[in-house]
Amino acid sequence: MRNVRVGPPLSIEPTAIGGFVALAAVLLLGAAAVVGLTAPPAPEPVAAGTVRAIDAAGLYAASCASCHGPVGEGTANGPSLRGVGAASVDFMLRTGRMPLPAPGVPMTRGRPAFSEAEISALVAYVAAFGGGGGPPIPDVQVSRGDVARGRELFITNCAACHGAGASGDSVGGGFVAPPLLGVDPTILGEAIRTGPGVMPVFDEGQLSPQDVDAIAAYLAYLRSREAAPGGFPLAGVGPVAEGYVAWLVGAGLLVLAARWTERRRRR
Amino acid sequence: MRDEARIPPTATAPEPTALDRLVAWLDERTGAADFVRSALRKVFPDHWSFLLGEVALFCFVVLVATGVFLTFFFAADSGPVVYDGPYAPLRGAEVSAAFDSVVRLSFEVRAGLLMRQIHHWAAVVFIAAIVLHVARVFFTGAFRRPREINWLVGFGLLVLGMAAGFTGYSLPDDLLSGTGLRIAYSVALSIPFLGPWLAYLIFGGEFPTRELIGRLYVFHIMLIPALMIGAVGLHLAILWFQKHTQYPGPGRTEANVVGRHFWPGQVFRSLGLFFLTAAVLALLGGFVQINPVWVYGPFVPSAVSSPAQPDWYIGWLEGALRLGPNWEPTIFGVTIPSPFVPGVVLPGLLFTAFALWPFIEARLTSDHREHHLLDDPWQAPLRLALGSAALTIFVVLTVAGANDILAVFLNVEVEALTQVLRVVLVVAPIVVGVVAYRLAVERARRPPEAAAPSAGIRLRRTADGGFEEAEEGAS
Amino acid sequence: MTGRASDPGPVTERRIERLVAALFALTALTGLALLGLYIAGGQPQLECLLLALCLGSLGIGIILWSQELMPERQVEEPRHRLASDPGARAALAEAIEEEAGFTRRRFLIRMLLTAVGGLAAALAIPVFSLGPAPGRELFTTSWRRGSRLVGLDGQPIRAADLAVDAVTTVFPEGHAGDAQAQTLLIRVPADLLRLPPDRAVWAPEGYVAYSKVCTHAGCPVGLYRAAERRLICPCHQSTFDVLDGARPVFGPAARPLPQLPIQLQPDGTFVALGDFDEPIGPSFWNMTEGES
Repeated sequence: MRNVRVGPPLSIEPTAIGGFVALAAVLLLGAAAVVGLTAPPAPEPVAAGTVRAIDAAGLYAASCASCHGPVGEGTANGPSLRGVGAASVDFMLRTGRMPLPAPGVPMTRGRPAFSEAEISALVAYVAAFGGGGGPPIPDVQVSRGDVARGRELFITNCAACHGAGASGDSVGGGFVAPPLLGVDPTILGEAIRTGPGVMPVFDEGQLSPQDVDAIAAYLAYLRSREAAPGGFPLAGVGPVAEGYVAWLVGAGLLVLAARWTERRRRR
Repeated sequence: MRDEARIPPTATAPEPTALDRLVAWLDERTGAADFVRSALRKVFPDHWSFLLGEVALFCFVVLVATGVFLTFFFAADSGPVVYDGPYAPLRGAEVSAAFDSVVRLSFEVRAGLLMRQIHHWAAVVFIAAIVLHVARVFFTGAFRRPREINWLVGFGLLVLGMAAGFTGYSLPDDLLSGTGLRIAYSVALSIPFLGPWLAYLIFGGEFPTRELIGRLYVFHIMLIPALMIGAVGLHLAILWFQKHTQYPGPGRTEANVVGRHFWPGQVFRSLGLFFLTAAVLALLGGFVQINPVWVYGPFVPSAVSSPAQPDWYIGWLEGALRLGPNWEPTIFGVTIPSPFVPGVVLPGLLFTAFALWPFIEARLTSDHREHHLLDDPWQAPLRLALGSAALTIFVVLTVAGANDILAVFLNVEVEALTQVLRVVLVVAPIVVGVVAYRLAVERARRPPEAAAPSAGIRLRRTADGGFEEAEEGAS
Repeated sequence: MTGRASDPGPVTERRIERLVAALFALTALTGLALLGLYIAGGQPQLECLLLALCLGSLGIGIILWSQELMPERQVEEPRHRLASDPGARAALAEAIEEEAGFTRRRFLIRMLLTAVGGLAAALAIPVFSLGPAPGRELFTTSWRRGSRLVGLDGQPIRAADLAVDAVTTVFPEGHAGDAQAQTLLIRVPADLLRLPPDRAVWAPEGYVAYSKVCTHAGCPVGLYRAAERRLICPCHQSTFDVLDGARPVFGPAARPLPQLPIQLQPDGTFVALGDFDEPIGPSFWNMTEGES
């Protein structure tokens, strides 16, 4: 009698162990990717021993003037920087959004192009354009903030774009409200006060300095273990990530379990 | 057996064992010995794909077990309380008693969070297992006569399962699920003539109502589980009585069932698989956080979080609403709201076709015979094509439900992605269906391949009617 | 039935027996450890690990036992014919009809069905008590002429509180948090507004107010791309142009967000000049009723 395989022609059965290892690897890689994608990069520290004076004017002329004009008056490629305020300049430089690699390219968060010392110098230089003005760099202290008030304010003012879990999301038009966990509190305050990109502006009439402290404190808390007692938080993305895990890990492992249960023993 | 026939007639009967005594005691009162014996000897085919339905059943058992625990802690009350538990960001916040009870269970009850998360993971995996099981049943043609009734019962279980999940994750009255309830209310509202009346009836008035959480609770812990338990019982009883289908193979015909006895082989394997299923759900329940309602916060009608998606098995409906065009015609004074077609008509058509499929296929193929041998999916090109197309529709809609997250991931504009997905929704099912059909027809033309010798078990019929494994190399 | 040639030999059998026993021992140990952990205070991830090991080892042990230590037999049983023989079916039909005699009582049966229909209608009454009949609620909100605009905390919003390109959520005084009345107050550069004259007076000095309830499926339209003056609903990406009367420019929403007529008071607070002039939120079949 010729051997005929019982059942539909399925591919060669992988070993259960191999399958488990593969799944674990995928899960870990996915986790690493998610963590890597959401953590904002830090500015490089000033190299020890750098003592030469920072030539802010030179830096500006080389990296900024082509789009913003030689004295920040603006051009077709970039808005005027007159009266834009120290907070805005510091925000753009520290988060690596500026300088843009090319005119018209969307701003993206990334490694800052300058060192901390260079950024400080540039901030002072640009903030003086047009006689100064604009929001100063806010003093944000997480330790002063009330996490409960911060949660309330965050949900009311920020969660619609940035997500209740601060995971970030698309806001349409090609723009993205970025994830906020791990962002430096001062940078948070600067964004709140200056409304970078398409973000609305929240000045002191709408959110007091205590309110900004509270929001920063809440975001710091959200990153802590206390806020995620249930295990790996899937970057706060929510049901979509949970659905992927349900299928890949849950259904995947169970299909493997079913196949192992009915395996033909080799003797 | 031949050996047993040689027992000398003069040997004395052995002492009755404990098992003998138990069987005797029960049988004297029920007369069930014969039935139980035939039940234990019942033959079940032993392919792994037949275990998918069991996996779904085991998820259901875990759901009921963990669910009972949760009912002791949940307060189905929308009335306001002030949270003063250990989770600092919520301290002092005015929340509903329902939300408060869930956060307290998660942070203050030992093993409470674990039970809650196992429950929710079991729910999302439950529907996934059902989908896999339905796919196996569909593509192998197991729904054909005489199993149409069981297909309908199974369809009912799928719909009830989705309803159980939706009502369940809406119980904590958090910001994310509350947004979903608002959408459900609006979809109900969109039905012409009946909409406002029906929405007010279900929700108890204009959204949000004080009664809503309580009503969801009644559905979730009583009405739906009762129907599901009944339907599961019916599903298993029909399957038991009609006997399981089997794949074609050596010794297998339309007139027999080849496999293993229910006891002990099938029982042990099923029991073991139950514990494995529970283990996987426990693993997820503790290591991967799901539905952290304290992060979403209590439902506030004027607040919203994004991304905003329902659990994955409702994602296709969300995607339909996102892809739906902004058409809202007014005909003779009757407005047809834009969520109506994608949110009510489309699901209605898809699910009606799904439920009636055994009858549709019997009509299309003019095949009204009984079938107990399963098809190789490639053997039924029309079924393969239409089923693949339908699956494609659901996959595209589910992906569309997460279009904002996908846009970030792919670094594209969400508007452009949405337009592309609208086109894909129409084109992809057609392409997939046609390709599947052509491939199946091609395969039918090719001669059947011989399987590799080591891939199966060689069986030989013995003189007394049983099977035995033939030695390798024997003809 | 004879067994398979591949049944395990005695040595392998003992090894597997030991393995299965070890797995069951693991089940017992992890079960007890879980109990101990619970008594010691519990920790979700550790509880989960122990529980998974406990259940998993039991499952693997049971399956291995049946796979390796029980004889593997392929057995067969015939399928019985599902349908009963015609005699049995006829007997059933006769059993139903014989003493009941329904074929002679057609009229009575029809009357019975009528009776049941009437009873069903009466029994349905409690169902109708589940919700009030929809009245004018769907057409109105709690905004009235003279309602002061307040925030979620109940405090009046002042014009100076909002910078240019800022947005906040407002409610009528006394109804803070009202789901239907939730309204967006947005400050835009006044010269950019492109409202028709009868609507422009509703938006003093670049402060414009629109209903926050999306006209598609009712989610709060919480996202604002300030630089583009576009409101976006997070649920299905309906996008509304603030400068053009919140007209939908993308997504499944078909109606603009209704505009709230507001007036700037001398003390810097705002009052509404009346309710919205059309139903807010998602559409319904008779919403054009009462339109002039």
